[in-house]
Amino acid sequence: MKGTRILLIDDETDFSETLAERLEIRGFETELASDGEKGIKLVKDKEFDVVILDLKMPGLSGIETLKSIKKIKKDLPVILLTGQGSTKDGEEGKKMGAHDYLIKPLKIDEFIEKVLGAIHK
Amino acid sequence: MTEKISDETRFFGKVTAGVTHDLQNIFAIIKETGGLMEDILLMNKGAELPFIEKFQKCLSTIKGQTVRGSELTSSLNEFAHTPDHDEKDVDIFQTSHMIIKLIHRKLKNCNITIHVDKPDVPATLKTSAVKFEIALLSAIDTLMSQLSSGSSMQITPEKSDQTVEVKIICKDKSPDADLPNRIQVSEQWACLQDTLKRINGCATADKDTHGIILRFNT
Repeated sequence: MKGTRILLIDDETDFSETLAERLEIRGFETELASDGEKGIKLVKDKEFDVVILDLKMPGLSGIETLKSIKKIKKDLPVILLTGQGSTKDGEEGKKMGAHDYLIKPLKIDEFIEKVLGAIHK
Repeated sequence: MTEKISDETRFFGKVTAGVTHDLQNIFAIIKETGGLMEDILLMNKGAELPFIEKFQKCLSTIKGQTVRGSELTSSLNEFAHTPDHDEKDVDIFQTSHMIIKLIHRKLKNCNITIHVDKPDVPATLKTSAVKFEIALLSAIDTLMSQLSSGSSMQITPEKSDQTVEVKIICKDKSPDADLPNRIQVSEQWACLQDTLKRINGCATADKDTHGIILRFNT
């Protein structure tokens, strides 16, 4: 886990900041973006091992952001975050190149397992 | 021809979907914050922290209640998306589960439990999801009004070439042979039949299972 760089893109900053803190306790390096455009810029400028992307955000949607990320770095794994009532959106995202999707609220162990699975695929 | 979903129904669905999405985010934040507090306590294991057991008990309650709240809002969110389409493939197992979660409080008050059987082959029906949910809820409601406290129901969806059936079997705590007759004269019965007629279905009060069978032509 040490040194694994994760980019969290979510407009719910209280959520992403708390999650980032929990991941840092476990040895991950994290960077945050509060919308799709900022996330895309970070993907262009920096190196990440995995991107965690919320599907429903104001402005650029999760799916639009996913498409842009895939155009910039095709092999960068992206894990989508979705609500339990919106698993169809997650499935749709997988068809568009996302590695997988996770349902909010998260289970931290399942989250880490998916992140490591995405990196070592 | 499928009836169009009314603007009013769509409006309520849209507003509820938006609010429940936000509520899900709130539960996610509370859950992560509780998780972070647990992490901090774990990192300080062995240190002399005052009231440590009380903190752990509070965190465990927060965790349990966020899961409860999140499951409920997820079901409500799913329900709120029902009017998004005039017609769609309704998964009967999934829909039954959602409805049961939404009426949990009422079931608890009446001390009635419902179990849904998962069919080997998914039982889906192309219909108006709103009307199907109204029909299913009316059927459950009809039976609830007739059953005694401590009874249970079992929902079994079945699909064949021509029809889809939803069997709602009752296990009444105080069995009454007259139950099928009482169902048919209840005030909800006519309303149920009317809803079903509009989606190519019908209901029968079954004497063998003491329940209701909803039948749809596919």
